[in-house]
Amino acid sequence: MPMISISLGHMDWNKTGAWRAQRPFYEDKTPPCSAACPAGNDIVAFIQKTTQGDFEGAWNLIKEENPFPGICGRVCFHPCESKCNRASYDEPIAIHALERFVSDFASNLNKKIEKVKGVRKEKVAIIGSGPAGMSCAYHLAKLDYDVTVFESSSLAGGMLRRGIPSYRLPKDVLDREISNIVALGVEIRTEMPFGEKLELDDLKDYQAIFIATGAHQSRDLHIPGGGGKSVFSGLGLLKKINLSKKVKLGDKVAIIGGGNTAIDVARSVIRLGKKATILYRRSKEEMPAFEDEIADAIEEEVKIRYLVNPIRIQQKDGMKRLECLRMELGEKDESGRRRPVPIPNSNFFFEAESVIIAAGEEIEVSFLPKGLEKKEGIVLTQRDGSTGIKGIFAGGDLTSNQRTVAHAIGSGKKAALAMDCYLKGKDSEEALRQILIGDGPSISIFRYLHPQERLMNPHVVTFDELNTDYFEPSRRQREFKGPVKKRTKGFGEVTSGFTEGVALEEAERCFSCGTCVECENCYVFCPDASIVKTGEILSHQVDYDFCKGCGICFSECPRGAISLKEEAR
Amino acid sequence: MKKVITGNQAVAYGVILSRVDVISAYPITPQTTIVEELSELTASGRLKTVFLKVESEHSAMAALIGASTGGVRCFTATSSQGLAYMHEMLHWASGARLPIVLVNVNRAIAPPWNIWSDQSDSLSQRDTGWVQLYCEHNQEVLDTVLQAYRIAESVKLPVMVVLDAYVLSHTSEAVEIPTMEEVDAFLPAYCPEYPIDTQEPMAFSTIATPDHFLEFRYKIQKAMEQVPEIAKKVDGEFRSRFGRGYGAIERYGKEEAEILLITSGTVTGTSRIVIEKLIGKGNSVAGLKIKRFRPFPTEEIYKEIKGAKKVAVIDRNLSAGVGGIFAQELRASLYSREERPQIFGFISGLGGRDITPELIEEAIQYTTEHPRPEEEILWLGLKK
Repeated sequence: MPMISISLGHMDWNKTGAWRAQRPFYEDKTPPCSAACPAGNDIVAFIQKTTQGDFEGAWNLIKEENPFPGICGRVCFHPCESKCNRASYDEPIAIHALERFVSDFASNLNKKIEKVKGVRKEKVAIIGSGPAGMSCAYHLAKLDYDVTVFESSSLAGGMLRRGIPSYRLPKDVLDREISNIVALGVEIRTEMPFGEKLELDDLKDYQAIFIATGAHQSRDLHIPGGGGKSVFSGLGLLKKINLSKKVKLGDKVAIIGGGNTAIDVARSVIRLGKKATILYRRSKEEMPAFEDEIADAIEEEVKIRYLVNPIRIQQKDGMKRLECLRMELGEKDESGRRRPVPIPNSNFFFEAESVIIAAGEEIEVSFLPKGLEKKEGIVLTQRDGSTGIKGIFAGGDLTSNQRTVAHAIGSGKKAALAMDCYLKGKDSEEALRQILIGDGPSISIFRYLHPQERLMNPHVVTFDELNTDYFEPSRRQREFKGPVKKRTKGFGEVTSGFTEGVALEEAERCFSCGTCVECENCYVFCPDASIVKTGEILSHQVDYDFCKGCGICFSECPRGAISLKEEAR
Repeated sequence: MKKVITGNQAVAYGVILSRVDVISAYPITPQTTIVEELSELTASGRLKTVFLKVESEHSAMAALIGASTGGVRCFTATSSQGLAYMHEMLHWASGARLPIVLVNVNRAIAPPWNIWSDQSDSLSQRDTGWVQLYCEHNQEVLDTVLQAYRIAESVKLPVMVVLDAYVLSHTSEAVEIPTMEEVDAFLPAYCPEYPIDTQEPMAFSTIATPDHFLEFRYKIQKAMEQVPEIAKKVDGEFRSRFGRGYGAIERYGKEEAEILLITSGTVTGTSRIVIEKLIGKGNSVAGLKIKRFRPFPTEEIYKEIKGAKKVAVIDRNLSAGVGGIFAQELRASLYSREERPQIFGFISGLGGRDITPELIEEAIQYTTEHPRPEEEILWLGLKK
């Protein structure tokens, strides 16, 4: 008899797994960032690739879903960061800056992009070369369709080119990402305005059509004097500046509105050496412009006057006199924001040499095919972008009031999927349901193309589901912004991207919510040695012969990549 | 080389010289400076050991149980509540026959809070299957750590080395520090009984049914019974190499005496002076220091006790409801013997109160004047 109780052979016969009441298993879940991304980027995947120093691989992962990482990395309002679980810990990951870094890094590699065109016989026409149209063209080209994009102006890009000032989105970044799509074999035919040079009847050879003509009409204020000389529309002014046309403005410029266009106009005016004052009828909280943009504008000495509503524009000695009413906030309106209510007899005058109205944009309906249903200023579609007319799909600003680049990219992608289903006779609604990210509305076209790969539970990981004991607080890395005096001298890009070192540091901060990064906590902590490795690599398998179901792997997983379910009795 | 060092530093020297592989400990007053010394030495790279930070004494011992099973030499130190918190794991260490050495700096157990010397913490663990060795001075502390590994690894039982709070732990004395080579010659590398081989996995401390459990306990008792002989051999070898030895007990004063005073720990140092003084006055007294409490040195003590008429035991501990633990053990060990002198059980110095020469003299005087104790427990210096 030995000195202690000891098994002289192994204990493999003792299948302790029979004691198990709950079963752990590896199951990736949806990170909140991806679920919040209107373009459907696989954010955790690309950031994890970035941590490995594989920036090109990261770029390829973004491009599975979105052809515009360089653009989104610069101009997206990054709802992903607002939902980032790290925000509940210290500061959210600078996802946009990583996306930009990866894209800029990859563009320097000058990789040749192979043509994919010509496998399928169906032809698809896309009207409008903005982010929705080009996103749709990109995905359809990757699905082997013969794609032609029709653009009204002389250069492709739509609102990206005309509406966004180059200090936010340099033209070479736009050109490079559009040319990457063209390189796939997409044909862009410019100077083909729909309803003028191009009619629906001209597109009979095309089996499916996607209309993404955007919202380019500046909304009228309908106030006396609002249509006078040297009263410009915000969008019109931005278009002129973007197409390098001469703009005549007085020294003191008033901008009416509180959206992104108003901010873009004001910052552009500053860059033209003029003084800019924004007049907005609600308060800062209700301003629809993105917070970062407002902050930048204020830094650049744009003046913003809140709770002010112009009711008349008069001309006096070469100056414009804006008669304004002071406002106060009343009950909430249908947009959920508090409605501005005029304060009686609060009239005052604001003088400016030029007045720019940037009070929102509307869609142009005159050229749209008959039979498209419209409501509250947009064209109505199913959620896959299909319209009431067979074979005609629509998307982008034309069909949504959420007028952001990311939403446009997402809607173009959805339409591409729907058109593929339509042309192959498949149920697009069912296909869409299969590939929702979380509960939607964003979709993953990667999953459409590879239904068995990178499987993910739609459950969106919450902060409470993480085990933050394994993370150290760290500061969010910030992009460098040029000094105000220097940057307002011209239209050069305001922020400069991350260096490689900074990008790696920032990527390391990602919790990788719901996705295993092989940290091996499960392997280390399993008291029954039931987490299996194949050689040096975690197999993501549990040895159920011996796993007692203690749940330690589940609770010690920092990122919620292991699930636990009750065993069937 | 002689150095003036505290008892806790003497412990650290003992650990360094024993080439311990894994240390795991949680700090507690008055043990803290041991852990500080060892962790700093490890962090600086001068001590080649693995120092495991843990969140509790229970985990400290659990970690060492793992490490010792893995076949390496292990050390921890604690005091009072910390030792009590380790209790479950102390049983495990002895039941698994792991030769871990633990230093306990004697401290009272709360409440009321008290950080001073009192043997109640270590004596509360007397039934956990650990060898227990009590020290009188800092030299003995260092030497006992070295001997402890030899004893532990010979009989495959854990050993607790015990020293008094502050009187030793934080008081400096001149201590002879042996060289590494000398200690290496005395203390060979540890060889585990059941080395771990990951290619041939085994389960340790598996279930033992009623068919076998008794036999495993019998083996522990047999190992304990080997300790006196092995400890004597180890002590003898130590004496021949280093010129110092301690025995399980030590008699001082008259070779034949009517009254024998029994003490343990630092009280012995004070008692030596009292005994010398009383002999000078013509009293027939002698002192007996008990170093090894577990296994209890029944035979060794009986040899010294049988000529005495009366025995005074001073206990710096209390098993409430019975009295002093040394006195209790002594009474039990004499029950079957022919000569059973009267045992006078004194309690004194609980919670670190000084046991002064006057109190010791008072104990001997009481013993001299009374044919038998008037009470089972005799309180020295009790405030009315």
